[in-house]
Amino acid sequence: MDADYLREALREDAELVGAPEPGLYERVIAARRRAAQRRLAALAAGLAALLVGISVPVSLAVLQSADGRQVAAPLAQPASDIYGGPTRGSLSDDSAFVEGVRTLPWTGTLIDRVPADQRAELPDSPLTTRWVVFAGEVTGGRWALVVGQNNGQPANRDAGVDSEVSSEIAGVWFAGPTGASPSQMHPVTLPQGIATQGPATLYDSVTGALVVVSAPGDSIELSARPQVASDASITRRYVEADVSDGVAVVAMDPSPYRSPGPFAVQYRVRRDGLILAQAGPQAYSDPEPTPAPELLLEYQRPPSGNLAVEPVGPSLEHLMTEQILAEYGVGPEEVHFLVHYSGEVPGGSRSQASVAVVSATFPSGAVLVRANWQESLVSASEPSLSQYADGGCSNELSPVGEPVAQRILAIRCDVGREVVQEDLPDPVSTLIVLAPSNLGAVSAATQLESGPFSVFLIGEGVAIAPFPAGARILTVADRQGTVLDEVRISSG
Amino acid sequence: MSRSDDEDFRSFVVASSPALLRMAFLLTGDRGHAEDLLQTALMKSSRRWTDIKDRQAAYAYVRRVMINTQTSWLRRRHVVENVVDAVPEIAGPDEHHASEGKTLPALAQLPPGMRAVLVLRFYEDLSEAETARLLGCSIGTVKSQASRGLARLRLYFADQRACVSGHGEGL
Repeated sequence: MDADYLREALREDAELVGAPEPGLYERVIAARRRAAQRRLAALAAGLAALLVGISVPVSLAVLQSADGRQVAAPLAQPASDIYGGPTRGSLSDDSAFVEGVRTLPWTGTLIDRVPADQRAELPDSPLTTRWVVFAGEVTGGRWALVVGQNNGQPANRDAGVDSEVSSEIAGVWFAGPTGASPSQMHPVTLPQGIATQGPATLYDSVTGALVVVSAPGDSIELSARPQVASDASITRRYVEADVSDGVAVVAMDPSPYRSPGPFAVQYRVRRDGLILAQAGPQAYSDPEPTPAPELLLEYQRPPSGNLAVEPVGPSLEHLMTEQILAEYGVGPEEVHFLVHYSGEVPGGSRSQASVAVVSATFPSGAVLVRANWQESLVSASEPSLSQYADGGCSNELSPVGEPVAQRILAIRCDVGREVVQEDLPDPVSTLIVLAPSNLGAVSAATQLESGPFSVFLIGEGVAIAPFPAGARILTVADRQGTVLDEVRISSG
Repeated sequence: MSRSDDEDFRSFVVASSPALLRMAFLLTGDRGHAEDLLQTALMKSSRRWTDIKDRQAAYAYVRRVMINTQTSWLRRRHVVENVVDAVPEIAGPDEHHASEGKTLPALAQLPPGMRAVLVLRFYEDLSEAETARLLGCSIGTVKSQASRGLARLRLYFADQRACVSGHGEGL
């Protein structure tokens, strides 16, 4: 086989992939917005509402059928019948309940915690345009999805570039206890534009309740959790769910650790054998969450001035470990966590930023090392409203090998990256080098175009410095100059 | 982004995504992963769109982001999830992993870096210097990786022929 044959064969094989799925641009913009919003979540007593979804414009109206049940009537080329048709779910025949939740206000505790300037952008569909897509019993209570005309007024809606907010329908998930009357139901998601091409989902990781609403005839598959093998590869198995009228109501394993996502659980919707959607479900935001049992974490070195979300709130490393448990679907007894570093990041104008570096050793021996940053934000309109921004510095899964406590870690952390807020300063890049303290005083050095760079790790084996532009690998040496290791700088 | 940048970016996505997806497919061997890779690369590029002064170079820019993203994903590993019918003891093949095509099964046997070199050199027709710059390695590394990659592909195809021939004799 020569190079010309390979060229020709590659061209032929590349054609096998076909054309991109329609709506790529919209998905890119939506993903960008989600990434930004994920890092700028309003936080008050654990509130974490993420806006998700992709949509295409569709015009819908609500009609009353002869039996009094609402019917969503598409006026012009509906993208799918996921959101049309009569109410589905085990409570769909309870017309009083359905009508009761349809008329519930979309305001409440959850929305009150959103800064006023952002609150004004959220949709609040006129009552006459609303209908109930799903109403049913789930594990631990009752859920309902109410949708209506999207009258949200986000600043960029006119530009029409963000299909999340330019969608013509919006919706809210409501939840209540078992046997709840409509008045006992309350919003557990923020009002948001609905992705009419894709399914609606809601997942409460605490109770394990999961609902996936797709179109009648669609099949729904679920994957409970990824499996992490010793070589750090990940496998995922999907199992077909019981589906009725395009709706799957499932009881997954509960976990006391609430997370805004991503979750270990993933769903996949097939239509005519083709995958229509594959993603993680939308998070249930409990307005009054029950605090999770605090994880007893092992610290490699004492935390140094870590910025808690709130004076009595969980620390960054606790939030990270809870997120890892939710993301991998494992219990704290299955994973060994080690906090390698927890402290403030000096320098720059973001003086309130902190960083935590946490490792999780899975039963297979594979090790996840994750570093996150966090900073406080003050809302100009409502200074009393607690907010924070957070993001990832690095996140690497490595095969079973040297115990992570013995490893030398080098991490680049760009505090403020992906936070979209005009009045914030630019991201600040910091280098964090961590070494086991039993190594004694060591240096980490590299040669850059601008000249040599080195930092010294003394005491607890920590060095924090402004990130040296262009650095990729650090040579770690002891006091005598003996090279101990060459460490690649990990980053996001 | 300004409205004109938005329109510019939208036009770019429409015009260039088929070619970028084909390259992503060769890099990943899986349509789903290729779509994810392309979408992520476009998302990252969109944040810098207003800074890309030379729009002629936009394709090269997104291609670079795609390569970096793929490298990052492979490094992190956790992002690359294989979908299997039953969870094996160790990693199993993705059920949507490309098993067809002339080169895809062979490319799947190669280390990611070697695979990227072959794709950039022989599909994107980049020079050794351009490939080295894109992958952040030396020209010598590109030469050796390309040479070894071709050798391993030859070996793979030779084994396949032997296997097919062996089956044929038994029939």
